[in-house]
Amino acid sequence: MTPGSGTPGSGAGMPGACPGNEERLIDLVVGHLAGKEREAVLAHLERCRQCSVRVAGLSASVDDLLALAPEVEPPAGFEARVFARLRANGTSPARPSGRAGARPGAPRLRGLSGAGRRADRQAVRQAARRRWDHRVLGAAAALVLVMGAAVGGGFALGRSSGEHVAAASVMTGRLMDGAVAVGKVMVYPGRTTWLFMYLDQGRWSGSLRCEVVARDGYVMKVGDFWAGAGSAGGALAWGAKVPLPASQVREAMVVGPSGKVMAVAQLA
Amino acid sequence: MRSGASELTDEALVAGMAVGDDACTVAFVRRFQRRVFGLAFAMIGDREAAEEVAQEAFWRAWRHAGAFDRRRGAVSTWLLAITRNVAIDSLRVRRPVPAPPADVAWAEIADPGAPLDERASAEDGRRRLMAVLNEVPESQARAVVLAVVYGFSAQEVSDAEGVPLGTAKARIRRGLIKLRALSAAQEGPWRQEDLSQ
Repeated sequence: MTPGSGTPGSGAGMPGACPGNEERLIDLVVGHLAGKEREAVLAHLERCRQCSVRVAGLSASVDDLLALAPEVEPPAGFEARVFARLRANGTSPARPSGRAGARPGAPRLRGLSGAGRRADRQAVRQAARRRWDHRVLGAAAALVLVMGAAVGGGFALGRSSGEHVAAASVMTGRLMDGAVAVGKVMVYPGRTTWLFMYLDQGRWSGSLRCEVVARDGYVMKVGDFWAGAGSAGGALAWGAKVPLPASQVREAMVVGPSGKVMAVAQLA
Repeated sequence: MRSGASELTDEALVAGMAVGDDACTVAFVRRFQRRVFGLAFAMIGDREAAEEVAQEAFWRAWRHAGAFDRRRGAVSTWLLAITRNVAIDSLRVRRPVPAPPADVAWAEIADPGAPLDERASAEDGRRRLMAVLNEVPESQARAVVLAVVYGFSAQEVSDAEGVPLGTAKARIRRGLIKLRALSAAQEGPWRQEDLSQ
């Protein structure tokens, strides 16, 4: 790439970008560029309409993907703290200014009560305690959303921002390693049956296999997945299609590389 | 405070914020806080830091509400893009310690069994998105979603997927190129500018 050259190419490579620039433009819109490299690309975009237009198109696709992000309830007191911040920053000299698109006068928020500092500190402590749960639930919600969209009607997908993803007739089971609960399995009915599970991060590492046991006793492989060492307190989320009607799935198993059954979930 | 703001459209709430309508600002935050916080949390993985990101995103949206242009996309898309930009800035500062790899591993995204016409005709934006994603090779779609929605670096995608770094980068790039081409083909001419060069 020759950022800063400002010489629009012929477009003979990927459509819309200077020849050789496509990779860096993608790295930029995905957020994988930093420092001088990022500055060089941004400087190039200032002078190259061809690459600017390409970045706009790629950014639109990136923005579209954000609809897949899970909805998560913010910590207690969040709303009040947002309003307090709007009030404070609306008149603060430290506020950003002169950004593209900013209008001369920001609106001022009036008459809204903010949370006290004590309540804020309490909310932060509660949030820290719930961090693990919400990380798992966030990943789960995203995958459910993806799966729901993929199966074309298996889930009630929200059409507006105020609606939530809801699953119908989901079969669930706690994933047990002996007497220890190590995760959870959910099986979603629909035109395609989907299985989703999460596991405690770091319990196992390496290649693992998920299998299901049908009501007639037939054992069927669902798929392989990789469990990294990860950090304590994390969770690994995984999902795959199941080649069975959901009602026929009796158990789900996590199987190690040697064929040993590591954990089992009874579904109901 | 005027009642009934919660029943206004997303665009009307932004317009109300732009002229300093408090009720619209309150309704706007309440309507979008779960999505904004959800995206921030997905990308950051830490509730306290995610709240900072979400607060900053709402402040920027409030500050720049007058610049919102409905012709360029939905309010939710605009707001989530702001959130993502703030989160990326936060990650740049916080990234000396990488996020735990493989927190999210997606084995399946695509559903090639669903007919393209049926999927493409769906009105729901998420369904259209999935219809496009379904046409992208699964490994590439996964890599793009992990990078974009979960804020994974290329190295983290590599770790999560168990592939070399170069492969992870290639999957992200090829996946996004394919996604862009498919999206542009399905969208109106105002978003096909990058193919019309």
